Amino acid sequence: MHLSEGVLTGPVLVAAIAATAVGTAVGLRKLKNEDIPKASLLSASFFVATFIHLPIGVGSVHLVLNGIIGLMLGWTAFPVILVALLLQGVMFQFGGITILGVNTIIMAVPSVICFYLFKNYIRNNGNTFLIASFSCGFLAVLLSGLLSAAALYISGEEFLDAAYMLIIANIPVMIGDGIITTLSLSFLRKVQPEILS
Amino acid sequence: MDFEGYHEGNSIIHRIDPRVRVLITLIFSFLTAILINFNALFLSLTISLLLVISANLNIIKVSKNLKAFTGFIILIWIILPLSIKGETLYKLWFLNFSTEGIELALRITLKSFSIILLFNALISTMNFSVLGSSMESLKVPLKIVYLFLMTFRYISVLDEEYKRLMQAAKIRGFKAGVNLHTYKTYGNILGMLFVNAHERGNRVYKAMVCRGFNGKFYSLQNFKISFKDFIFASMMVLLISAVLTLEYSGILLKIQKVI
Repeated sequence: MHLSEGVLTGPVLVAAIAATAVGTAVGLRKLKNEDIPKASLLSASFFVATFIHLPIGVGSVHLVLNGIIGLMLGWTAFPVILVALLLQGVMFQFGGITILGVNTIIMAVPSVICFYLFKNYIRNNGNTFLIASFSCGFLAVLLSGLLSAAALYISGEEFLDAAYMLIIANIPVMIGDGIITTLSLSFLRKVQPEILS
Repeated sequence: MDFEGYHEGNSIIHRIDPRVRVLITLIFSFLTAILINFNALFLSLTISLLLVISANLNIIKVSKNLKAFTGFIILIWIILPLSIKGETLYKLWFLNFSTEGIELALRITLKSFSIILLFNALISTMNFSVLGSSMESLKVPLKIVYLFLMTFRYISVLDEEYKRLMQAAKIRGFKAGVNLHTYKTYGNILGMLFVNAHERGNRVYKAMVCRGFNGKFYSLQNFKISFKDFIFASMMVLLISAVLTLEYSGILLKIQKVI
């Protein structure tokens, strides 16, 4: 989920950069040197995974996956998402420098929130696991939607309609992310549970 | 995936010190992002276009890159003039196109095209390792630079891996549809991708330690500021001040009117 350049006002951009700097600093402190290759590889796999088209209803959606990123990385999600967004901008040549702070907040804050909310519940079995993992995927995208809507609304009340539309348009993504988060977490629990610890 | 960019060209822009280009891009992008005055915005777009021309970019490739983005701009032109209330510029049946909405849509269009074209001209003209080392010499935290370089290095590897997994599924008759089987397949493929990434990450780290990795990447890039970098930077500063003057003089006129 991204906002594009040229839409938001200066104060919003600057405030988001400051917040991103704080989150990234915390994340970097938790990222040890020996974990950089692993974090990079995971970052690259998220990058690839967001290209998956998941059929939902009559259309298809792109996955966001920031819930599962949070579960695997905790605070390290901040630098990892920052770098992935920067790379996206550079590789596809659409830039995104001025909006990088805002987009990092939009994606990474829900990741960290989901990490704290669900890290214990996803170890349970049965329905608790199913509910927790679906909520993790669903909530992360919902929060991202709310944060982007908030960024738009703070920039100008005239964006209110666009902000509503943005949240509504993302409901299929929330459902898709919820389902895929549940299913790939249950795969990871069977195959390699230590990724989630 | 094709991420070539334009780093193989040999224009004046390509020969400017990458650090200067990164700094100018940062300053100019943020300045453009907060502009309000239309004259200033048009000047900023003109400067970006001039830079694209002097970087000798392939115009067809640039417009192809802008295609996805143009969709977003069209959406803005549909939503904003109708949703923003204000003076009616044009009325079509029950649809009101407001002046404020059109102004805002135009402002967003100019800003974003200007920023993106600037990015194409100054940043997409260097390759990733150069961008990484210029980030490093501009005091970006080392861990961020290494994450950046290594993530880039492995995106194509993991993309191959994903394609391999998808191919294996397709050979076994997998067809995506709206059903639990499809979601389970994607969930497993994604899980497998993470497992492979995790394992490979461990292997890569061990291989790096075997080769004497001590927490630092050594770069073969040797940056040197030369006279032409100085000329380029001063020209850009001059142009940036021109944009600022246009923006600022607009505000001055408004204040005079109020008084």
